[in-house]
Amino acid sequence: MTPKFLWLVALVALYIPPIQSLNCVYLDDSILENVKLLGSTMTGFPLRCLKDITDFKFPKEILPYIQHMKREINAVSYRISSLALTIFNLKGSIPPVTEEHWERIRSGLFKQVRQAQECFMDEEKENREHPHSEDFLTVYLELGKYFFRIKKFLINKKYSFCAWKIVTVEIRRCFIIFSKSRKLLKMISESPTFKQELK
Amino acid sequence: MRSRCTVSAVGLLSLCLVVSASLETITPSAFDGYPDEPCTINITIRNSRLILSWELENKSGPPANYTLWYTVMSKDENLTKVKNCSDTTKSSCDVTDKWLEGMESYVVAIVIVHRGDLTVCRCSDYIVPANAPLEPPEFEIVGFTDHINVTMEFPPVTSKIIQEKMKTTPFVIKEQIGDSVRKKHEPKVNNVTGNFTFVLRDLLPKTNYCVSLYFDDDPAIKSPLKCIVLQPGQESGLSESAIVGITTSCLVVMVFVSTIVMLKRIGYICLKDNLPNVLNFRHFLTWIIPERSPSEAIDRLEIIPTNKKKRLWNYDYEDGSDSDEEVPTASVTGYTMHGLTGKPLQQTSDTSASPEDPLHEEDSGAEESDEAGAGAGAEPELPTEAGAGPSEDPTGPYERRKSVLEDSFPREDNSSMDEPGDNIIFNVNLNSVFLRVLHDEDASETLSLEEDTILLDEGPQRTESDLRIAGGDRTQPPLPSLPSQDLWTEDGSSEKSDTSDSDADVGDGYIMR
Repeated sequence: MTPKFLWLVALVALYIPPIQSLNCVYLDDSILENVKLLGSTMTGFPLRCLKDITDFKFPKEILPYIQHMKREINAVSYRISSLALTIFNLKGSIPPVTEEHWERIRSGLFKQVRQAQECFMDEEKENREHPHSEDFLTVYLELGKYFFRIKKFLINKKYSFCAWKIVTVEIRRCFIIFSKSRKLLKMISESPTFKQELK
Repeated sequence: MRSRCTVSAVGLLSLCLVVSASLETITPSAFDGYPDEPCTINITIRNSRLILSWELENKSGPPANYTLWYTVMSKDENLTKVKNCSDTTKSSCDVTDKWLEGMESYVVAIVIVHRGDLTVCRCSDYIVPANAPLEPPEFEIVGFTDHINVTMEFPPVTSKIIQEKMKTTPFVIKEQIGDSVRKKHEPKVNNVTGNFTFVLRDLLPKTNYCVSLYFDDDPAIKSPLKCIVLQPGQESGLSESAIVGITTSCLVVMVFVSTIVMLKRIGYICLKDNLPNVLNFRHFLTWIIPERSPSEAIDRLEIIPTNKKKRLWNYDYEDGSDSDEEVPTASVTGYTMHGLTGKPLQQTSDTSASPEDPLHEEDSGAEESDEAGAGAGAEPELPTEAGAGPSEDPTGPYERRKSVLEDSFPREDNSSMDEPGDNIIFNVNLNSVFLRVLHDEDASETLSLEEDTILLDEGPQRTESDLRIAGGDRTQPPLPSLPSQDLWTEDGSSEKSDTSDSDADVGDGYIMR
């Protein structure tokens, strides 16, 4: 290996950690982009679909945990992103929108999952010696149950138009809540006095 | 028949709608008969209020009345009407007090009744209040020479949704020159209520600055730019004339203060009193012009000369009971004190011979006082001339004359001097001389001065010579206390120390020094 080649490898290796850490920075932007995409592609809500609305019981009790999970927040981000993608990847369903819009939604979700995964892997390497906390396990399980209820609703409603409408609204709402929790956690970690002001 | 059914069905439906319009909640199926009209429904936070607004895609259509219905997706399918936004012509509605759950999804239905043809349409969508963007407040800018004041108002926040939103959303004041952004400021406005002023500092005059406000949210709603050109002559609050006036007054004050300080330093003013005692003219003036008693004005003295003989008075005061009147007595131990006494005018002819030693002239006394200086208790000089002491004549003290005083004080017109030529010279320590000042009404009173003589052979001792000026029935104030040489102690108030008395004190008929 020539010295020039070695220099090149060294430079690339030098910038790999910052590039990987940028995934976490872009993850917030990805989540917000998908919120906009879901709102713009599936506009309006027919009044006839009101008869199918249900309470998916979003686990609000995990929000305080999320606001304090500095070490494991990226793991939670990856969990939510991957579960949402599985919902929109269900086969045998008739999309409520055009195919083009549907692909855009899935592409956006896939990008979000990939960034969340890479960010999560970096976090796992740092916390290798630290096992996941009990709070993380609680959040992990509750999120699983929540998306299972969504999936079950879709199956029960046979992937109808109104069912997809209701699920889309619900997942968009989930992303909004989680995005705000990440923002709140970031502000608490950057400003020690912010936590006092929040109270 | 069918048309009748259709008409009856439509009428029934309209009736249902009218009935339902008066109700608070309604099932969504009540709107099934109305066509959908495309519209855009948005929610924003404006002036600390949650404002839902809508806009029909067909803007050119006829004007319409709107009624707003909503429901929470996770709770109930029945729609609830918003009272304040029922059958309104406005295309917006304040739902701050209605929508309290920020994390929920709300389904909104707007019933549109066109006024022209009375057609009814509906428009529905879903809204998440937690995602409502913050609109920037209205603001004003005031430009000065080198800074700009940006003033805005934040109404009080009552909604929990808005409170949480404002806490997590930074507020930005963007400062730009032309199209380029110069600086972004992020003041804390979380708990600000009312007027809020932010100052943009370090600005250049004659420059066009533009200001814009917004909350750093997604999407961020930015306020329109407000621009101003900073003029060089714009002062912050004070006019040029005021500044010139203040500067001039400061200069004048500084010049005045420096002048005072300089004069004080060169000794032109506020001289320190470092003169020797003999040059202490303050005391000298006090000797010449006795200080007046605050309760008694200085009057003219009547001086009655008695005789001119000079002799040592050898007072023998042991028979001090010779006089019933208050005669200054003293137990003389080696001192002669000169006593000068005066007498009423009617007695002047008889007593001319008795007070053989005349009054010591005040001039000499003044001279002595000069020599004695300001020191209290200075030794009196030996008398150069002696006069007859009071012991030789019991009534003498009353008949002594004061030729000395005559020279120093103006003589009363009605005072008579039997022997104007008689002079008795005394060495008087003016520090201990009592002088009584006659008032105009007391012009008939004579002065009597008494003084102890000092024997030469027995050596001088410190003594006090008291000049008693008795008049009428006046009681005389006590002399300063003498250890063994008090002439009299009338009221026992002779506690005053001789040495400490250096100032003249006019008592009742006496000027004590």
